[in-house]
Amino acid sequence: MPDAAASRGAGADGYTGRVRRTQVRDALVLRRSPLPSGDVVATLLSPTGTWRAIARKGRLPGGNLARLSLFHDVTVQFWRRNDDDLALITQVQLNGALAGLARPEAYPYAHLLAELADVLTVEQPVDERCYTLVASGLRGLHAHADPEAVGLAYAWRLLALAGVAPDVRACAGCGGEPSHLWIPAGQARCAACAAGVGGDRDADEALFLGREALAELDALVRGPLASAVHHPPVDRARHWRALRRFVRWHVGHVRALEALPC
Amino acid sequence: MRFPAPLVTLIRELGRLPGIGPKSAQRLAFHLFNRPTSDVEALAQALLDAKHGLDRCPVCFHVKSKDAPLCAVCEDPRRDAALVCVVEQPADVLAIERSGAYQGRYHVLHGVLSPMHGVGPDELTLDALWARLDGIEEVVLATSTTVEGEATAMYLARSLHEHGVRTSRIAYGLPVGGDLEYADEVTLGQAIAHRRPF
Repeated sequence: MPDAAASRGAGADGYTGRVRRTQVRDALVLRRSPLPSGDVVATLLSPTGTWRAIARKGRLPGGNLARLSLFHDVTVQFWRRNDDDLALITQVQLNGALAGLARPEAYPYAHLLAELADVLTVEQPVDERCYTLVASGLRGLHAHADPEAVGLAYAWRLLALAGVAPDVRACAGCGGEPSHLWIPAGQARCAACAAGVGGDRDADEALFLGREALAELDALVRGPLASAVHHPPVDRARHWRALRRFVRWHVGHVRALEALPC
Repeated sequence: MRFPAPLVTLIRELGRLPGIGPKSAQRLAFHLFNRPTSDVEALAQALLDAKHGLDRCPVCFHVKSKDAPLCAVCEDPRRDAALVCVVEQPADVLAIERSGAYQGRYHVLHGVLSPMHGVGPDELTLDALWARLDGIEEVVLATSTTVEGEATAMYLARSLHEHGVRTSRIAYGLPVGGDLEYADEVTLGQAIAHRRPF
């Protein structure tokens, strides 16, 4: 169903006279915070962006609002008064439960995609493709035999969509064969240029990856997504290291990324 | 208009409690203001007693009185020591106890795995669980049926199999007294997948 944020009805609140609008929106549950009162505050990613809502008694098992589980693809009906911080969810329809995301080999990467999508879309105008990409990534993690490859490819692709992925096709200094990822500039450098700007091998700001790894990184960022997933990098630990340092510099502290064992 | 400083402090402190927003905190503060002094003193004393008189059981991490060496369940010799039920929070122990259907012991994790909240295996009470596995024949995984609870249960099941301990998971299914038509798809699917001979 397209996200039309369709207004199903509007009317005056019986107590205050303020206008109340009921809307329906597709969403992915990025975060879910259960409250002791039995309510659930959810951070949702829709084609229009990230938003927060509260589901009253959402912790009760078996109820309509219990479908608001982490990573679920849902269609929610909600309403919000003009001065409310949080929308109030009244109905949830489940479009896809991804049980495979609870597997220990997929779970950390699902958290990574969700947290990355959340931090990349805070107070930012959101490209509708972000929603599609995260939905696709979560389904990939659910179904694919190699969730790590899916997580790595989609994490770099999310950064690319947010406009912060590196351009590593050639040395940004001389146009030569690159060997280092110059993290602050999001560019690649050859060994000579990296040394010239103060970067030694594995120094703080210039990370040595080598020609092959940089080509793999370019494929992760810019190549066809299916190919990036089906032909993952050979030395994945090196790519996770690069991703972790790149994200720390350009995005900030992403706990799910720091918690990854690799 | 400005509230007096003690009232502002009370509203702020009440507002720090989970599930209490600024409006609720204000309502509670005025409610307390209107109660007799003896009621408020009894509440304050109960809060202090609970804070100073409670501790975690060193074996199962359930709530216990500070004076007692172990919690009531761990101290009870009639409990089956070979059966341990793993739950997320102390409130889950109380819920299972209310059912009256379980006679084993417990282990409280005090959380679930959630990398985006910085909760990994080291943040849970897993080391203590591995340390008490001697003599345990079965571990019942009774974490919530949310994605986080399911992921924690799967992680535990794999680790416990490596320790050579039999595991079981609480059953999924329909709530008693509910109509099939109103059950959600996931619950109904699980209920059919885990049906039993009848």
